[in-house]
Amino acid sequence: MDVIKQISDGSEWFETTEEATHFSEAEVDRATMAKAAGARDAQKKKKT
Amino acid sequence: MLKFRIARSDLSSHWSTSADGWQAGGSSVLPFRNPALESFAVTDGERTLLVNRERGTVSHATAITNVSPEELRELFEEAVAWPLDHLTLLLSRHEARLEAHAGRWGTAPLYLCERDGVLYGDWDAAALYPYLDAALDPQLAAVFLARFAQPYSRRTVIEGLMWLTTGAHATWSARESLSLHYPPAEPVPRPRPLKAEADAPAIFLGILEASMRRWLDRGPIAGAHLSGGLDSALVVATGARIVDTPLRTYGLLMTREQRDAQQRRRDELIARFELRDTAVMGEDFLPFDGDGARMRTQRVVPWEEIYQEATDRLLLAAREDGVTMMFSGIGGDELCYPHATETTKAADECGVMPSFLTASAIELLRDVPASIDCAPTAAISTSALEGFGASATRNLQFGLWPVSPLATPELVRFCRRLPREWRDDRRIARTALARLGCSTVVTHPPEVDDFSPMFDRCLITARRDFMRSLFAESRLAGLGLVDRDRLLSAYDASCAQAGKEEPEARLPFFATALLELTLRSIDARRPIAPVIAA
Repeated sequence: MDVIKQISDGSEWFETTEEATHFSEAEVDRATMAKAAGARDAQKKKKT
Repeated sequence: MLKFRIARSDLSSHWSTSADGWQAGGSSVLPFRNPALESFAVTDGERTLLVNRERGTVSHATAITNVSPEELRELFEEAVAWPLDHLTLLLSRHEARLEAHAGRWGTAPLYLCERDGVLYGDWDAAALYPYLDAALDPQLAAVFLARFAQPYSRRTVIEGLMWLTTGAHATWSARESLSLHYPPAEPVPRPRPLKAEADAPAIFLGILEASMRRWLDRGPIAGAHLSGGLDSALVVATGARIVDTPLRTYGLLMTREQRDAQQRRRDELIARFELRDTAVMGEDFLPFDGDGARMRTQRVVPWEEIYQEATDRLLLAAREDGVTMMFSGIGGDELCYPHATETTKAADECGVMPSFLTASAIELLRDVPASIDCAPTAAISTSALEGFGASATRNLQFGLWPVSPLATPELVRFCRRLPREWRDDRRIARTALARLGCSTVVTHPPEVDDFSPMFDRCLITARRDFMRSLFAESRLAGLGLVDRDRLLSAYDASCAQAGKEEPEARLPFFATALLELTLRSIDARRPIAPVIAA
C-alpha cells in the first residue's frame, strides 16, 4: 500500500477545511451545464 | 483494464487460471498486463473475485487463491475502495450473477455489451463491434452531430454499447439483463480563502510531485507527451526532476505556420530538463490516412482521439523506446475553470445548429441536456474523464498505461478550492511553471496552441474527395438524421469559405464523417452468419 498512500490535498492551507456538501439539484444542473459549456470550448480548442 | 466474455451458462461454473488470465467453461477474463498494474484472484468456493488495478505490491498473480467467505468479503471491500484505479469483478455461482466495479479515476474505461446470453467487456470499444448492430442512439447521435460530443454517460452514441463510467458498477445475472448503476455524486469543492502564509504554487507543485511519484516509485518506465503547452510542460518539468534517467518525451508538431512558436517552447523545455524527445509532424499523418490503423483495420470509434494517426506514431515510438507508462497533461485546463457561480455563460450555448440536420434530429436535440443520462459529478472533471475516453484505448493498444497527473482527485480538489485570483488566466499553473525554472516563453506564450491549419488541411484539401464520397452514400441520411443533399452542399460551401470562417464551423462535418465510418466499421466487423445446411 505504500505507493498508493493518500497524500495531502493542501486542505491545511485554506482558512477553513469545512467541505461543501452536495449542491442543491438546481445548482448541480447549473454546474453541470457550465462545465459542459467549458468542456465544449476546451474540446473545440484542442480539436480544431 | 479487462477484456472478457462471460456466458450466462458459465455463471455457475468454477473459475480457474488460464494462460493469460482466468476461465470458466467457454468464458474468459483477461487482465491488462503492465508494470503499473497488478492483478489477483481469490475464491471462497461460492464467489470468485477477479481484480486488475493500479499497483500496490502484488504484481500479476493469476493463480486463484482459496480464502474464507469473510476474507473474500474483506478483499472485495478493499478492492472497490481502492484509492487508485481498478476494475473488479465479483462472480457468484449460487446467484449466477456478476458485478463489475469501476474505480473512481476512469483512466481506462470499460465498455460493455450483451448478446445472445453472453456479456462482453473490453477496454477497446471497437473490439465489441462484432457483437453489435450498426445502429445509433438517435438522441446521442443528434448531439454528436450538433456538438461533436459524446456526453459522459453510461449510454453511448452506439446503440447497445455501454460505458462503465467512473465509480459505476454493472450487474448481470442469469435472470437479469445488463444494468449499469451510477455512484452518488461527489461533493463539489468550492472556493475558499487561503491562509495568509500559504504559498499556493509550492503546494500545487508538492501535490503534483507526490502524485507522480506514486507511479514512478517502482516498475514502469515513464514517457510523457510534450506539446509544449502549459499542461504538458508542467507534467514534464515535474516528471524530469524525479526520474533517475532522462525523461523521454513525445511531441505532436503543428503545421509550419504555427510550429516556430511551439518549437521555441519545446526547445527550452528539452534543453532545460535534458529530455530525450521524439517529434512527429502532424501534417504527415492526417486523420483518415489510409495507412493508419483507424482506416486500415476499420476501427472507427467516434469519441476517440481526433489526430489518432499521428498520435499512434508517437505511441509506437514510445513503445519502441521501452516506455510502459505515458504521462499526459489531460485535465490541466479544467483545474482553473470558473465555478458555476463565477460564470454567466449560457447553459444551453451550443453554437449554430448544422444546416444539414433533419427536422427530426433537431427535435431530438430539444430535450438536451435534461434527458441525457449523464454520470454524476465525480472527483475528476467530466471533460478530463471524456479525455481519458478519447486517449486510453490507443495507449493500451501500444501496451502503455496512461497517467494524467493534472487530473488526480487531490490536485483537482486543491485547485477547485483556490480563490478565483489564482485560477483566472491559469495563474497557479503559470507561476508553478516559472518556479520550475521556465521562462515567459513557456509560461506566457502569446497564443494558445492552434491545430486549426492541420484540421483544415485534412477537411478541405487532403480528405475532401473521401469526405464527399462518404456523404454521398450517407447512412445517417438513411437513419433520418441528416439531409444528404444539404450535407453535401453545406460541406462544399464550408470548404469554399476556408480562411473566412472559423475552423470550428467545420466540426460538424468531421463529426458526421466519424459517425458514418463508425456505422461502416461495425458492419465490417460483424461476423458473417454461418450457413446451416438443411
